[in-house]
Order: sequence, then structure tokens, then C-alpha cells
Amino acid sequence: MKNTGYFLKETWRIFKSHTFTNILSIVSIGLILLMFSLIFMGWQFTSNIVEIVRNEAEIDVYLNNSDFENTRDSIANFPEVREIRIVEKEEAYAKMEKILGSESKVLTYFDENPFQSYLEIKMNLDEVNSLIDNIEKIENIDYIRDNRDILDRIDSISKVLSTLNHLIILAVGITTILIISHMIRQGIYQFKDKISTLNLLGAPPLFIVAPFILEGTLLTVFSGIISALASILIINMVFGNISGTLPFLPLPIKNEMIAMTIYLNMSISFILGILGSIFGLMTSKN
Amino acid sequence: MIDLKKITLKYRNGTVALKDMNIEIRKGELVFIIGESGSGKTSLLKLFMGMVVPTEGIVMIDNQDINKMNASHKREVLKSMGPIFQEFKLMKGTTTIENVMLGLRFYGYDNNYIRTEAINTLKKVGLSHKANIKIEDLSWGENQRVAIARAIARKPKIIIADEPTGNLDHDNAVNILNLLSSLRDENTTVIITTHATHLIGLNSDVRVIQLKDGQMIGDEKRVIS
Repeated sequence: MKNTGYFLKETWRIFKSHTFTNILSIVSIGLILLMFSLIFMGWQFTSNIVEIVRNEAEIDVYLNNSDFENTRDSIANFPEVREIRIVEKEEAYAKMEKILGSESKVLTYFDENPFQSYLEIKMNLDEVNSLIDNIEKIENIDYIRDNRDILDRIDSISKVLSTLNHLIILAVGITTILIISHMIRQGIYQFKDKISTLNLLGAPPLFIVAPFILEGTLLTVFSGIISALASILIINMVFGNISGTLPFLPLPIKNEMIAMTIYLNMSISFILGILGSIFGLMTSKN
Repeated sequence: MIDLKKITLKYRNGTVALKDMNIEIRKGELVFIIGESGSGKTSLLKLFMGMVVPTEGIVMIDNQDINKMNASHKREVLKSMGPIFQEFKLMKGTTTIENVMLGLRFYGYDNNYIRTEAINTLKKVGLSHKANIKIEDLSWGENQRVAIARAIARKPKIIIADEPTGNLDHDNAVNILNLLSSLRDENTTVIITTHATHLIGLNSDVRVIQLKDGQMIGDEKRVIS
């Protein structure tokens, strides 16, 4: 701590020795981190949709008789069931009216209500298969309607984005570490005489390398700030556009997402800065 | 304190810098190493600091072979030395006082103490008025005095000075030699290589080691009353 001022001055000197290259590095790493931020945000959006859909996952069970109450009670005993209720055919009609909206007048062409009563069951999406297997064993079941295809597709998209996110983290990590380590090696080469003199004066290794580690870390932290600011702008734009044009799309909480993006950019840039600097020092011939 | 035993130093290009040399330097001695260019003076100083490893023989500092010490022990030994390099090895882009302070930064002192010590030492070498001038803006001789200040500010047990008066005018050279010589009062061992043999006589109770072609051809004690 006693040498903090000295280390900061030295860091500034190292930075100034390659000002233009260092600025380009900050911008490049900032853009790389921004790319990572965008993928992360996409992943957050789809994960949020999947989570909401998962929570809303339901199956509809149609019977070949009118013994709804007994069947409901039997199904309610299955451990996978979160909620079960009887939807009367009048309610089924009203639901369809709502779904069709302005096209609902088509329903007036029917003399009678064309819909049947059914059982609406909410459950955990992961347990839908075992639940259907159990329900199918009940005698008076006529037909089970589920949305597994759609749910599976959304889930797949989320998984692809999650994998992509991890790959991007890896790519961002490796690229940043390589860029920073190169900057550090460049700095060490530039200051090799000074390093040699410090060694001859008996300076401890940490004293010698501290300004280089500080430089690498500050470079990436500045990049992280740039990326975080750009991400906040993009989040604001995206939320503004989606909530205006696609109001039914469930969105994550904006402030939470901004906070998460800032935290992510700063922590990743800080960690990568330290790792890149250490890698640069370890791979330097000095 | 320093004990060279049967030292031979051969560089990779085949040049034999030092041959079969035995030197023992005791605590508090003022030793001048003289000889023509290429006689092995600088190589000898490099051996004292562990900057080069002898081809044969051992370099003992305080009864320990400097080339067999672990890194941290060697650093401690180097911290106890005040090297004055022929080419100064000052930090470009920094000021006079920053250079002197640098030599004190890794002893755990606080900043105020370091600054005060640096200013006091700059006064001793006559450069306190140029404390905030950048090294590049100083003359060659002033650079040399900064290098000397950096070394003595550390209050080392051993001063190793390679041609410390080489770029100084007569008055400054005398002042610097007197300053280095006075460090013996604090029991500091002072080892100086020099061409300026005429300045040796200004000091009392000195030891003069003469080198020629990597061999010691003279080792005498001169006591001038």
C-alpha cells in the first residue's frame, strides 16, 4: 500500500509508452466484451421466456364420459400435478373467443357450443411425460392435449443460446487474455532495462511486476466500462422497441438486467485483466 | 565480507575476463580497483553482485556463495548493496528525486521517510536544487551524481562503484570520493573501480588492487597520514 502512488505512476508511464496501441486494445476488448454482453442478453431474454412458459405449462385432458369430479380427484393425487381444475364448456367457449379476438364471430355460425368440458392441469414441464403416462392409465380418458412440441423447441433455442453463451465466454476469455498478455510483453520489452536494474537493486518480483499487472487490469476494466455503457444503451433501446411493438412478449426486469450486465462486464473484465497480465508475465522472456 | 576464491571468468565468446583470482575484502575497507580498459575491473564488480557466474571458483558474500543462494536470499544481499553503474542505469522519464527514492522503495519505509532521505542525499551530492528535474534534462555528470545518490541513500553495507568519477570535473570528483570515503565511518565497505589514479592519493588508509589482462598484478595498502 505504501507504494500505491508509485505503482500508479509507473502504470501510467507504461500506458504512455504505447498510448495508441493501448487505446486500440481498450476499444477492441470493449467490442469483444460487448459481443459477449449481447449474447448474454439474448440468452437472458429466451431463458426468461422459457421459464415463464415452463411455469405456465399445462395439459388439457378430455374425458369420454362426464365423471369430471372423480377423475379430477384421482389425477390430483399424482405428485407431478401442481394445479388441476375443471374447465366447463362455457368457459372453453369464452377462452376461444378471447384467443380469436376480432375473428371470434366465426363461433356464431355454430348452433351449439362446439367445445367440450375438460380438465386443465398445471405441472412442472420436466415431469410432463410421467404425468401423461399416469393419466393415460385412467379408464375414462379420451384425449390428452399437450404443447410439448412448442415447449421443446423453445427449450432447445434456450439451450443453443446457453451453449453459444459459454462458447462466447471461452472465446472472449482467450482473446482478451491473448491481447492483454501481448500488451504486457510489449511493456516488459520496452522497460527491460528498468526491470534489470530493479533486479540488481534487489527489488522483490511483486514490486517489479505490480505496475504491469495493474496496467493489464486497468486496460480491461476500461474496456468493461465501455462495454457496460454500450450494453445499457442497447438494453434501453431493446426494451423500448419490444414493449412497443410486441407487448405480449414477456421481458425480464429491465433494472435487474442492467445491473446484471454491469456486474458481469466489470467482473469478467477484471478477472480477464489479471489473468492476461499474469499470462503475459509468465510468457515473457524477461 | 567478500571473498573471491580461485576465480576464473570466461565469457561465451571465449574471452577470459578474469584468471585465477583470490581477493578478500573486509568490512569497512575502501578498495580501489585500478587497471586499463579491458583489464577485468567491471567483470570483477559484476561477480560481487552475482550478475555473472564464474567459470571456476566461488564468490562468498558474508560466508555464503552468492551463486548458490536462493532467489530471495540473493535479493536480500543485493538490497544490502549500493551499486553505482558505469552506465548509471537511471530511470528515464522520471525526476532526480524519483530515481533516488526508487532505490528505497522496497525496504518497507513510508513515503515521507523515503522523500526526506532522498532530499538529504541529494544535498550531499549537490543536487537538491535539481530534485524535480527529469533525468534527461541533467548533464552527464549530474546523472552520475544521481546514480551515486541512489546508491548511498540505501545506507548499504557495501558500495560497489564502477568508475563513479568518470564523468565529473575535478572538484566534483574529489567531493564524491570524499563522500564515498566517509561512508567507512558507518562501517560501509566501499569498492571503487577507477582510471583516475591521481585521486586515490587524496584518501587515507586505502587498499589498491591493480588488474591487468584479467589478472591481479598488485594488491597494496596505502596509508597516507
